[in-house]
Amino acid sequence: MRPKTRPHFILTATCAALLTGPALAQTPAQGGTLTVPIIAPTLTDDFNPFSNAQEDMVRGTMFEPLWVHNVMTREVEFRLAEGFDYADDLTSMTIRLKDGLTWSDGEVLDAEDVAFSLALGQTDAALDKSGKWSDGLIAGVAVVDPLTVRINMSRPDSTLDWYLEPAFIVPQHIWADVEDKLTFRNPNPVGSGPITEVVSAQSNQIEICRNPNYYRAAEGLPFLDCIRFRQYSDNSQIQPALMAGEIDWGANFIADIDRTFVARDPENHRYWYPPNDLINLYVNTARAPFDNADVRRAMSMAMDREAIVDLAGYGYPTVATRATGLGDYFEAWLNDDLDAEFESLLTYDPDAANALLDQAGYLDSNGDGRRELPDGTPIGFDIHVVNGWTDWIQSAQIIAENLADIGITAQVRSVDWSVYDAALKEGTYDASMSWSLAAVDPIQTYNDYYHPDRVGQSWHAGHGMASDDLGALIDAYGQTTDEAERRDILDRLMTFTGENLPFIPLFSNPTWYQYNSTRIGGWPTAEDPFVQPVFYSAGRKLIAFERLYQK
Amino acid sequence: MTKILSRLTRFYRGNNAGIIGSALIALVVALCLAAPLISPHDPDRRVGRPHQPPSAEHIMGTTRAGKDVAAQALHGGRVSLIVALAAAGLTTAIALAVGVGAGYAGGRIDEGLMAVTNIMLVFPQLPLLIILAAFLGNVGPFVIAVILGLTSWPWGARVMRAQTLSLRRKEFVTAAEIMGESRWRIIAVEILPNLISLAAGMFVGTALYAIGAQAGLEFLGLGDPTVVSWGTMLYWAQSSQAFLVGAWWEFLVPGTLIALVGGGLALLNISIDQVSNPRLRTGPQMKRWRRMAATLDAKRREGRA
Repeated sequence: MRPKTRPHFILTATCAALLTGPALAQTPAQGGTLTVPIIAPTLTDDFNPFSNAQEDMVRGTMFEPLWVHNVMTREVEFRLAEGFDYADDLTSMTIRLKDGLTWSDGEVLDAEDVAFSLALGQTDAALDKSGKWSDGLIAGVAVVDPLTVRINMSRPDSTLDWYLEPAFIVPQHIWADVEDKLTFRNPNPVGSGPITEVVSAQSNQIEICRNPNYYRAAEGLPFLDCIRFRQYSDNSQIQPALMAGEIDWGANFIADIDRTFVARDPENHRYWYPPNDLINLYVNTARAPFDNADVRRAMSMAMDREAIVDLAGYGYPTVATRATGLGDYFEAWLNDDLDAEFESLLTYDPDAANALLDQAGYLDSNGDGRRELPDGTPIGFDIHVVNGWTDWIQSAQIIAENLADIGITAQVRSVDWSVYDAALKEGTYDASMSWSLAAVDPIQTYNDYYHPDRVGQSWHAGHGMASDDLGALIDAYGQTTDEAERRDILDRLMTFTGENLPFIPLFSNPTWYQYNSTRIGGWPTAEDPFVQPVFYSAGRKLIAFERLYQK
Repeated sequence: MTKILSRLTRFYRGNNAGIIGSALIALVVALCLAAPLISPHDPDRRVGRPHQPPSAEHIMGTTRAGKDVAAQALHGGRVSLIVALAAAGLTTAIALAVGVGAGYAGGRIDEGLMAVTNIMLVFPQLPLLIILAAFLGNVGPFVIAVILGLTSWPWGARVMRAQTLSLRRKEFVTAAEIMGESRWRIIAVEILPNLISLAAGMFVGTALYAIGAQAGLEFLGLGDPTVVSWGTMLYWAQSSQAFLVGAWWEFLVPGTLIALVGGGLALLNISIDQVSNPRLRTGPQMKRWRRMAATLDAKRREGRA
């Protein structure tokens, strides 16, 4: 569903026949301003893409990536680059740039700028947004010709392209002379994205408008003139602003959205919460009773996921139905046959759970309603959640209720982040609720679950099932570009997860996305899901923004 | 026994503030104590759909999580009241120990104790509580009671010291000293009984403060949200935006109970103040005072005539 562009014969903005997908038949007129919230104590004229100070304002709007991995369509959307190729031995990658790229000040954007930007991470880890200098993969960056850059790698790898999206391309003619690139405020920004010109910057509002030299200007892009970033202190201020129609695009938790937001204007006040990362109940398989797979299966079958989603999550998350460790975020990769095999594990059935525990020898011999381990000690453990994460606390409370129904006593412990963080990473928890990695490819998620290198580093590898065999399998995926081989590796990892259930999938987090179509049209919707509508992802925001137009 | 009863009747006679205050507290305490008997549901379990308005099944509605508000309010009240009483008891005990100790011992001990008291006094209390609560991580009701008890005593200690200092100079204390009574006996028998009304007032005042402070800490999310109390009920009401979605019962019920107990404690506090300091007496108390004065005058005149 990538926008196909045709040459323009008539540049009348209103009736040019530009095909940008099924949602739009005509090129919309240019003009209009999009208002979005930024949660910050105050806004400043800091437009540095490296400092994290106001990244949501500049990344993907002012500074474009080379390409964007669109997980929803499983396609690569090329931006500054026209394409990339891996060498046959997978030890280098060649990036081809589009012809005729310019910076917003009129200078030419060429391979020198790209090589300069990519090489920034070599000397300063803080500028290494890909993380691939730090882990030793990138050995060097070379300019081949004005439109071609080659990245040399220290070992064969076919996954580098996943990590280059956050490596933003900045103009060499400005940044080469900047001494400290992290603290530089970049008050007069020069970028390559659709909006670059700062027209006003106040502490509570910053307005950035159209790039006069945008490389897609001939296509009439961007349709909107400006983005107005408004400062809010927290979610509780954003909710009323959204209700009052002050904000066009919200990316925040809104309580009871149907009653508070949608009901005010059902026609224009809309939301769409497609699945994001999968939330699991991680259990420590090194400890009893979680060392028995039947206990983990029984616990999974005892959980009323519908109730968790409805009550704790306001119905916004998506119920997990697959035991294979991947949520609906990775829908384009899933294997329905495999999922069907394990479906019963995630179906609410307390009777089957009870039967399974009886059969496994975890009985309630003294009739106090609590099952015991075969050695006679009653089963009891804590479920860790972070204090203040109210929806998770409520989820864990429902889980504890469900487990009580099958004779397992679990206590919800809302702990400080530091306690939670350390217990997960060191594997010292009994049970803990946590998310999973949702990036570009499912193998990254499995890497985070099972790779022995991630044990102690990641929150999600401390369950006691990471192994060298699984690590080798995961590594093999990154050393091939063969689709069938990759498919096979994924299938094996899915099967392993479904058979062993080292963690219990609960639900997929929602992608927070509310929009107000009173003034602006072209939004990604459930009917037209051309991109996951994540405001906080530079690339996905960019793709969504380019479709928006003033009504 | 009869002595206590007659004292109680004397305390309450004509003392409307005391009567209303005590009645309010007694009502709420009785309801909370009877929670296991009268509570319609288990406070920790889902028993209905989220945010159901008050009905016959759920007389005070349900929370966003589908739990019964009435059951939570009754059971949660036990936690809130115990915390308030424990914090008040701890505070009063520390204040008495430090105040009487400093006032009676005098000299170096007095200086040392008062230095500590003054330092504790100038600590801004709410920020201190917030930092302590955040530092200790997950703070249950017990920890909150201890935190409140350990931070609320300095004012009381100063008042106790002042009163002890003035009592110390009284003739009966000097007499006891000359007679060679031990220090502990003097403190226990001669001084403490004269501080009882002050200590009672302080106890009630601190309980009032502790009810509010505990609810405040829990409302800010610094308490343990898995324990049901009035403060955590308000926390959950806030986090589920009960106000915005019109589920008024979820915050009104715990809020009203806090207000009732708080109001009752405040009234009781006023009436205790009036007992220990007759100059604060107002209204009916004053009328009684005038009547007594008038009778006395009449008797005197009769006597002379």
